[in-house]
Amino acid sequence: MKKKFNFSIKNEKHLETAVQILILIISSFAISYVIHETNPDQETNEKNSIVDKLINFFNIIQSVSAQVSTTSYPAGASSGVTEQCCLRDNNGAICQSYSSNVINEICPLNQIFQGKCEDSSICQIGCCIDSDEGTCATKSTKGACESRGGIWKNDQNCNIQECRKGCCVLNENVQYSTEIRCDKLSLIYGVDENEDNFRQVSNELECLALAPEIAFENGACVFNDGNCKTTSLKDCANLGGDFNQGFLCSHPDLNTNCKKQDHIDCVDGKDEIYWFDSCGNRENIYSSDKDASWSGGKILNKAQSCNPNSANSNSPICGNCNYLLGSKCSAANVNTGKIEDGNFICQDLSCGASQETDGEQRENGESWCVYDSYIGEGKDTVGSRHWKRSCIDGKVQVEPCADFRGEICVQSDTDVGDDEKFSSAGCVINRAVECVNYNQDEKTVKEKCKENSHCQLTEVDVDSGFKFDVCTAKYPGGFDLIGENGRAVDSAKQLCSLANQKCTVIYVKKLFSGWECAANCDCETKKFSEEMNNLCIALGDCGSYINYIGEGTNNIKVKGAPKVSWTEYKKYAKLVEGQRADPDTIEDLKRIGFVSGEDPTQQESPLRFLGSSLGSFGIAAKLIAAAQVNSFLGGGISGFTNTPLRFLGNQYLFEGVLQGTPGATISAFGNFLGGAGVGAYMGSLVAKVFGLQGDAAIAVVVAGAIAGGFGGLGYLGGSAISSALAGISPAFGGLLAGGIIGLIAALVVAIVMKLLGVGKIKKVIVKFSCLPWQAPANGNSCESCNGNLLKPCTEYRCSSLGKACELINIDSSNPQCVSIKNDGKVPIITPKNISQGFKFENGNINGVEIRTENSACIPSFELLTFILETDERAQCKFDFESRTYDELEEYSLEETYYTKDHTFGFIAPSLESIQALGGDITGNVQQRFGNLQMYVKCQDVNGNTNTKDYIIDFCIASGPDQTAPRILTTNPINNAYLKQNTNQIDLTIFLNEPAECKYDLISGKNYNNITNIMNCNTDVNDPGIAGWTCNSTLQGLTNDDNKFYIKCRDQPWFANTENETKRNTNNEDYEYILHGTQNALKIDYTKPSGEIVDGVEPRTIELEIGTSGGINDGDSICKFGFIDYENSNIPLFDTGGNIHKQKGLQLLSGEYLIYVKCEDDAGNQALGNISFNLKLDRQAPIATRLFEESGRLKLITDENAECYYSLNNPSCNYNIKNATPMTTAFSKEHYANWNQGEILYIKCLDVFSNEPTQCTVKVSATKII
Amino acid sequence: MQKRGQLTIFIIIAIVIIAAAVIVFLFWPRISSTFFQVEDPEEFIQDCLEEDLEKNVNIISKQGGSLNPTNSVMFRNDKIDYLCYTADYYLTCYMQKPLLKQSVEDEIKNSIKSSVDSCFSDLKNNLEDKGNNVVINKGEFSVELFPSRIRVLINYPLSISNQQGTTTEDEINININSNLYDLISIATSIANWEARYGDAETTVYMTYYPNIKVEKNLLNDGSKVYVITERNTNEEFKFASRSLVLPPGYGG
Repeated sequence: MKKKFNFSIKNEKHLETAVQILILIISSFAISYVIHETNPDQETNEKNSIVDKLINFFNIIQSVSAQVSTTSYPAGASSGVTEQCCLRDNNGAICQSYSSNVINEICPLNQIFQGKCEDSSICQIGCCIDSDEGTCATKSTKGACESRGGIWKNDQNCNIQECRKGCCVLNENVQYSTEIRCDKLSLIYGVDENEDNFRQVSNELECLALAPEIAFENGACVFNDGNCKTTSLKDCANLGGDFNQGFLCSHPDLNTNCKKQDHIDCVDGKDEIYWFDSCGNRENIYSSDKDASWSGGKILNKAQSCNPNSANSNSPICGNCNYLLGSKCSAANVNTGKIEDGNFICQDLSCGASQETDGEQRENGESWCVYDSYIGEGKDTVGSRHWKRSCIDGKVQVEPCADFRGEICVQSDTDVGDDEKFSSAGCVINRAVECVNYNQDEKTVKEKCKENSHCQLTEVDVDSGFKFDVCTAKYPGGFDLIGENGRAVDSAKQLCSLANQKCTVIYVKKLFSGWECAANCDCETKKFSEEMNNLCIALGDCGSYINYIGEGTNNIKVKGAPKVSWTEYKKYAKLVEGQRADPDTIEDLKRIGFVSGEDPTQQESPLRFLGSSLGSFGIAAKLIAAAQVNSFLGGGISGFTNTPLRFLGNQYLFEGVLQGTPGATISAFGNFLGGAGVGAYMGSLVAKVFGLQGDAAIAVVVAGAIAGGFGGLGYLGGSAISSALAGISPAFGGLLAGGIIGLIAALVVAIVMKLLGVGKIKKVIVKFSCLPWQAPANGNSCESCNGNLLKPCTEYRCSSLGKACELINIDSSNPQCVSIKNDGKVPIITPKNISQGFKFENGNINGVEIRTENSACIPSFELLTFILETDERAQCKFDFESRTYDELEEYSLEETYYTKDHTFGFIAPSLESIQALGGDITGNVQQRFGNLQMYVKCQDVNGNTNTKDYIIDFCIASGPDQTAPRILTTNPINNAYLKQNTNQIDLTIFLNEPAECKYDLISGKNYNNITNIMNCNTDVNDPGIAGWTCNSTLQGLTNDDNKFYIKCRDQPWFANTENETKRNTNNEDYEYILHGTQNALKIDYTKPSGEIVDGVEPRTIELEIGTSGGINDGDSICKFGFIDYENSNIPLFDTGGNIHKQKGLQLLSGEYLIYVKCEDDAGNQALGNISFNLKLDRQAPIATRLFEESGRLKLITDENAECYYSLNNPSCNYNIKNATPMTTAFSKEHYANWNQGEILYIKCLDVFSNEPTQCTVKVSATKII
Repeated sequence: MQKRGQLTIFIIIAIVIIAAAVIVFLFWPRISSTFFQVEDPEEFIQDCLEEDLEKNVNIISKQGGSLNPTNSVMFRNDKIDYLCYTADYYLTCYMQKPLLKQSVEDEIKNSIKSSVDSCFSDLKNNLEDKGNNVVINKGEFSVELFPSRIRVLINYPLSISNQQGTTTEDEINININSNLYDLISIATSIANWEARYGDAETTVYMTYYPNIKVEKNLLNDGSKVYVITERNTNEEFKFASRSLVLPPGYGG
């Protein structure tokens, strides 16, 4: 049976509202507290506060950022979870890192290595060389490589000699390969191995460009029987023919059996249409001008053939097709036409204008970006994706960029003349995460944000007191919208919540117009919601926004200002013509590649609050908002009431005195002014005594002045009497009278003002909460995802279209987004779990009661958490009044997500605290407290909402508070380490209830005897994020352990009242310890140093740093950079201990000075640098001396080398394997036999295989040739 | 009557011919081996093995170089093995098959092992049915990829004795046309890019090698499936990679 109460509260509604507001306010703290209490990751000492949570969040961000920049930051480095290595997991994946708590599920016991993979001998990462094939595999594990007979080298990027590629010439063809592979291919293709077929080139394109030149070196190989073959000199020699370089077999001088221009055909691996002679030899490129094509029987290269600079697409007269220009030889068909002398054509490979090509003609090889909707400015729509399309062989290919906008498509257009352009596009990693990270450093945020083309400075400028810039992503990343991945959900909630803001609006009560807004007035307008929602959207899939088809939902909470609706953003669903993301600048690439292009000079941001110490602009902005309000109060209202008015009073006084004293005869005007001045001064004193401000203070001063003036004037009228009576001068009498009358008038007016409340200040908190975006609760638009083969549906796209949309056939080529059948039933709510000490009672379909285990009401300031369960995924909201679902604004802890469990957390205020608020509480308050009802409604994925409230009935214990306050956490945390030589530090403690606290250096003192008083926030209405706070500056700290003993006393509203004895005080001290640092943190050594010479560029370099001292034998985080210490922000790959390593740095030759900055947990810092000179040796050895020694030829080279000689290869293009060695190992001394008459063609190679293009030296026994 | 009799005879003859043709068609391999002398054991093994070899090569090519993929991802209802893989977010992948060519050769070899033995058994039976005395020593066999072909070198020394004398074959060399060698070269190159940079640009491959088509498919978990196709023969090599995957949002 439902309890009924008779209320005798004078203003019942007022109380009810006060309680409800209070609970709602406190519930936000409670929710934070719940997160803290329930998240196992947060249970370590170091992660006890919300502040720490934000630090953790940004640590994640930082690691991501480092990863994107260096692709080398260890996974989970900041998660605090032990990392272990699975040598081969259940799926067969080798050398995978897993956290210790999950590794057993995926890795057989005998495959677990208790440590990091890189510490396991078989999982070391390096380069695997297949010495048979001459191929190199980067980032290969030692075990996998060596088990198959590969050669493993400790350079994961394969920047080693064996893997250096060049151009391998294989008859007419070329291949970009290593030298060993070239030998292998030469063997396969029957190319003379003895020749040096491996040529040094810079890149693959250069190699491919060699092919036509090589073809030009061919010629006719004529045999005695009149047969002929077009081939290379080498091949011809092998075949025993007579080689005629540059001749076609049909050349009349050769007298072969081959007839010219017998037929026409395409050739495998060639673009062009060719003539063939009657022997089947390929002749020159087809031209309808047969004579020109035959060229008198001489070979023509491509450039000498017809129309060489054109693709010759569909040309009937020229077969000089060019793949790179967009054509290739193809059999003719009815659509293409054909050349005049055969059924072939240079097929046009461009893609005609169509919907697929964005309505433009696209050339072969051209690529361009396609988007779903508006992009950039933080407005990419939910579910949208970037796409790259390319035209390949006349067909449009689609390459989606990573989903969730993990990649963005960038496009660059090159002007190719005639108003035509050629587009090149690519999917690049979205560096959105770096943008948020920049906010950590207020000094550099603006600069860095502007430099990163993926970031933008989002300006929030609502009012002069609520104004800041935040670096956000230009293309915000998408979130997992399904909400089944707890970690992703938490991450999304945390990220969105960075835009949670509070603006304090100041009202002052005016004399005539009542309450008038004085500061941050625009925060109560829609501008506040709009600008905050824009910030919210720019953080990711948050806020009131739309999906890529223009449907949306509202996911914000706004208190005190008009809301903004998703419908106002519909325009962003439309594509904007010409809109695209530009590629990164060289500077950006430099920055990613460790070579910073940043200007080292840094401007200090005028917006100091940005980022503060944490980068948590949500918190910081709140602080600044408060600071600016305070500043307004201090410099504005308070200043106005004190300084100007005081000045005004003095001025009148001064002027009155000036004008009143000189003359023996006092003018009426002088007396008036004098009286007014004194009256004004009296008025200002009265205003101050009454604590009046603003209009009220002015009114009092003016009243004093006017009354004083007339008092002075009146005194003049009765001066004879007055003078006779008082025996004083008329002038002074006038002032005295003015002062007295002015004082009386001021007192009267002040009392009236006080009664009317004029000049009072009222703070109104306007709040904005940014929540993760949710798809519309229906499945009406699921089909929009299907049917477009150029934009295949994905889980993210599908889930953005409706909560009832589901992707099926995920692994097929045509996944389908379908609607979950709507059963038309509303979610059924049942109680599930409740925190210890409480229980559910009398539950039924309509609700449940919550009481303590003793069936009593909930005690004040005790955390109560409970979970309601729905029989299907649903979103739940609540309020303390019954409202429709859309009107409800408070969400469960799961916020906007659709889940089956719905968590609620509360800390109930005490009755005394309600009274402390100053509400008009009278009557039987206990009874009202005894019947609080929370109304819950839930909506399922199809939008079915329970119309009847599910009511949580609970009561708050109205008895006296009998528990002492509890310290929840501290900042810095208890047992933290101090930076060496720190002598003072600011301490903040967080309490479960408003209280006053003190600390002492001696334990066990009575609270009253403790002298160090902390500055505590005792406002019941303002619990902060992690609890009520007390602050103090701890001084006299040493480098040893520093102990402090804290005690607190609750119910500060009873201080110095008759109820003082009701207050609860801690009996036991809270021992707070700060450990000092005894030894400074030091960098002991750095590596590498000096000169490093190599023959390959880039060179892979490993950095190593050793540290000692600090809080734990050198354990610290070391970061490095190339500009200066301030910009040294890249954490080394392996850091955290006292040996720090960075592998895989790829550097070009040059001198390097790397700045290293190590910092331990206490903030002790050590600076150092790594200096080395990286030299590239591309020079072949030089013969410095050559002479006969003991009957042998001795050759001395300028560096260690291996030398070989041949007796019959004057050009020295022989393969050294087939030559005679002069050296047994790399040396500067080389020997050969000294035989008269022989000429030695000597070639020397250094340790980097640098060899000369010709002979190092040619020598006979008598002379150097 | 004569005409009717004649017609009947023709019908009977026709039926006999058709029946014979059907029998020959159905039992051709056995008939051919029974009535025709095996001239070339290598040809016999080639015929016997070719179909299986091609079928398995095709399967292995389309499953990332594995006949039975384990560390794989589902793509269009097929399991595709990872050549480069990391389970982590933000990290570039580690090469799972650093010596891919060898790995594929081993897979092909394992896939045809039973067929090779079976074919040699058939060869022996066939020869013995024709009165030959056959000795086969089962040795080793290898599979090697070459440009444009796959070679199976079977080192099963074979001795055939009959009235005319004894002939021996030390090894049998089987070849099938295949561009798997080239496809694997491209796959290795792409996997290297994936390992080093977390992604590979496909257009470049298609521009440099016009006969090659490279298709990149992104899957929901951040994995990518590359499909490399030889345009002239439509041979495919598919493999998966999971590298530098960013989770939804900024840290999930």
